[in-house]
Amino acid sequence: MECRNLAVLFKVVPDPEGVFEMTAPDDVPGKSLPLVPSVFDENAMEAAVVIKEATQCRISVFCIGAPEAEPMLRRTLAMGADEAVLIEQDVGWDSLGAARVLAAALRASGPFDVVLCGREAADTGAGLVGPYVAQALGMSFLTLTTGIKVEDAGLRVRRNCDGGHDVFMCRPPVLLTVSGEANRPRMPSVIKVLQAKKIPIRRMEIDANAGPLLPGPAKAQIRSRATPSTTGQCSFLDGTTAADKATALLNALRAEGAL
Amino acid sequence: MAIARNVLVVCDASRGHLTASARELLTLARSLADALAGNVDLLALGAAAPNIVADAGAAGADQVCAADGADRQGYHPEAFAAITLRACEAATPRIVLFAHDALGLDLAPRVAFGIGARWATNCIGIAVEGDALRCERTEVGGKLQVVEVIDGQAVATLRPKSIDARAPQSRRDARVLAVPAAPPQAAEGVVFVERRMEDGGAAEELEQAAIVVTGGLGMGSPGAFAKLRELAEALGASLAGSKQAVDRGWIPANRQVGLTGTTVAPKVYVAVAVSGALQHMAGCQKSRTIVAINSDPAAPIFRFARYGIVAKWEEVLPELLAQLSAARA
Repeated sequence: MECRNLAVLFKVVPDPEGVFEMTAPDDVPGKSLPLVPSVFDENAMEAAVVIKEATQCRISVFCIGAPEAEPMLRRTLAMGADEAVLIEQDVGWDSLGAARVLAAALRASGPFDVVLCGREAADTGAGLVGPYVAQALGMSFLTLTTGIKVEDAGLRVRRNCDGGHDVFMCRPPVLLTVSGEANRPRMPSVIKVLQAKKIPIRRMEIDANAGPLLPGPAKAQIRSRATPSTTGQCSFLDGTTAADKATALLNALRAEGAL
Repeated sequence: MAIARNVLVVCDASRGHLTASARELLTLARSLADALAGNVDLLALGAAAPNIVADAGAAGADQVCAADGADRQGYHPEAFAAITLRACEAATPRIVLFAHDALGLDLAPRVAFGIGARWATNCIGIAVEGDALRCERTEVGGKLQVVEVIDGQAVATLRPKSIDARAPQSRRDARVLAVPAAPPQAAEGVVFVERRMEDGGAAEELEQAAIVVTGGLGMGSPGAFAKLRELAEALGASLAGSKQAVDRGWIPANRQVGLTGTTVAPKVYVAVAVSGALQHMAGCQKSRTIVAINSDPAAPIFRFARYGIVAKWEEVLPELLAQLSAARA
């Protein structure tokens, strides 16, 4: 299969394992948390490198975010990306807005034979950006892929279904969203990390209103965003021995009628 | 223009019957359609309409879409999207409902884009509020709850186990709604090759279990899972694992609970040596009672648990087994 240019859509998010506090309704969630790569985008990055090894394609990584995202973009360069593009724009938690910006960035930098991104962002959990970018660019797409293999006719792709898995052949140009089962992202070597430090991060400015608008209201009408009231207080079952604790647990479950 | 009042449910019926999540969708659809004074229409992909009209009627549907090609086996993204768009023309829905599963997550964005509707993903509840639809959904694996209001046409995916499916009512068969054939397709960029069934019903059994016992990374070895299986058997529970346990081959992938595995909501969920990472909790936090056994008192799992035991599983498991077997004797 011929693949000259491949793009990875890469997001950095407030650490999803952190505590998300909302002090006001219009608060930016997780704004005080450290930024980390959105986990499935790392799977997308690994899948890109595997395709590069088979096709010698050029990998461009696109990220919307603040300059704080740079160290994570450098890491994609160390993993095997050829260029990293940072679009300094605040799209907040608006997936449609992000899709519009990314589609415009790809249109300006492409064409791309293959576009990869994570199955969903670790913060919004929407899974909207990949499909919408593909449709805005008129590309075929397939979501939630769990394995990608380069073959002569195209990409042979695995995807889970209810009770098993499906196999597809995907001809470029195609966008695939990548799930966690697909691979384990590699650890770049120290040499590659050092080399990546010398590669400049490309800055790009996008006019989000240029190009065709995506369907649906431009902005989500979010009425509220809040942390749910704590899901049940945990009763710690005390006891001096493990036997005491086991007894306490079984009694508690029986009292609830759960056993 | 009159506001559309109908609700179209699109589900995966490739197993030949309506699944639990399809019944949940129809239950929600029924309440929305009653509030909108409209119909519930069902497009079941992978099944022939006549085979499910009785089931669909009992589960809350008024009409079942009969569309050429809808009963094809396997998943044909572009063809199924074209059929669903035709069904939208025939059914004129105010809202199109999918499950937040493999089918829904691929098809819903195609349909939302195709009809120009707003797409609300990962919903845990949807209600009619005046002229608008109020969608409640979660972000960051349930750490945030978002209420989004949609005035126009909407496409939504509903998280499995978010609502209780109503008991089947034997009122009448659903009527058949004929859907005109989809226009001929240009060559497809994504071509379905084959489907391999491999779980022997494990995921479905897990979904329906009243008690689930799950082992995490802290179990440490495949041998430890043999012990856990004993506990599952003693409790009459289904055995599951976290993604880390599956990745290490301690338990098959079709028994994984979590975001990329099965979503469960049993009466009792016993998490043993599971840290409680977000991706895992996304698959089990609707359980009625969560029990956590973990040696780390700071493990996030305790934030979700109703009962917690801070101890090594190696100490607690034998005690639980002994006491359960003593109670049985």
